[in-house]
Amino acid sequence: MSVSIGAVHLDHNGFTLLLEEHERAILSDLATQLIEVLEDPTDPVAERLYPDAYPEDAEASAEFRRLTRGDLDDARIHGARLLADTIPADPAPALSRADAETVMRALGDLRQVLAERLSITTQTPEADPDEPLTGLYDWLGYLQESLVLALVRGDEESGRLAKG
Amino acid sequence: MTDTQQLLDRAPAALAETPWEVVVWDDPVNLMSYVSFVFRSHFGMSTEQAEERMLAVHNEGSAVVARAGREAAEMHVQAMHGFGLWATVRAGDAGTGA
Repeated sequence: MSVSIGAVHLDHNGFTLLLEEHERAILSDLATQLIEVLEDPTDPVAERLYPDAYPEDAEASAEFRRLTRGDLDDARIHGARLLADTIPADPAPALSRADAETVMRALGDLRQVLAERLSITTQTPEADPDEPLTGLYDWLGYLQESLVLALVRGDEESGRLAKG
Repeated sequence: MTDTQQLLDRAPAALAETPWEVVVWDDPVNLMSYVSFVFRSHFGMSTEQAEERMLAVHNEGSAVVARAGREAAEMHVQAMHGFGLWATVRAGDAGTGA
């Protein structure tokens, strides 16, 4: 199989993000910032990444967070590091299936950070088109969607996901 | 004695694990294609089921995506938080036997 889906090329070597040089620079810079955000427990984005598991039980939610957040934070920081380490390389490396999923998740985390900065909420779901960060937010969505569709294609091909 | 017998009669049902529900809530950030992929990949849903649940989340504000014992339900919620989805757990309605 050799197929290009949006910004991703998928073949027997794996998943390759097709990015221009300036795009790689932006993305690796964002990934570095993501690490800083994830390492700051007081950043408000944490409320988006770690919502109350028990909305009507603060104590149970706190306990759940105590038990789960450390592992999830570690995985997120690993993902942000992977993004920061692999994206600047030229030519772009082909990612394994596992790394492609990790990058897909990291792009989602980046979108959550930008959504926080852009005040995108359930009440105000649209990003302000005049805000410069909005273009970045949409572009990250395009990259993430490309990876999602490529993962679906690869997983259906490998039988990891059932077709239909 | 009658009471004890009634308790014994009910024991299998009472011992069965109370169902807990994993609920995913609509959020303005996650892409629809991404949410569908997560449902297929994590819960093993068919494409059709995943699309249906994803649209239920989108249109109704939330949807139950799994029912399980409490520990398993919490593991699903942890996994959803790992994917960046807004997920919660709640005691299910035992009466439905779902």
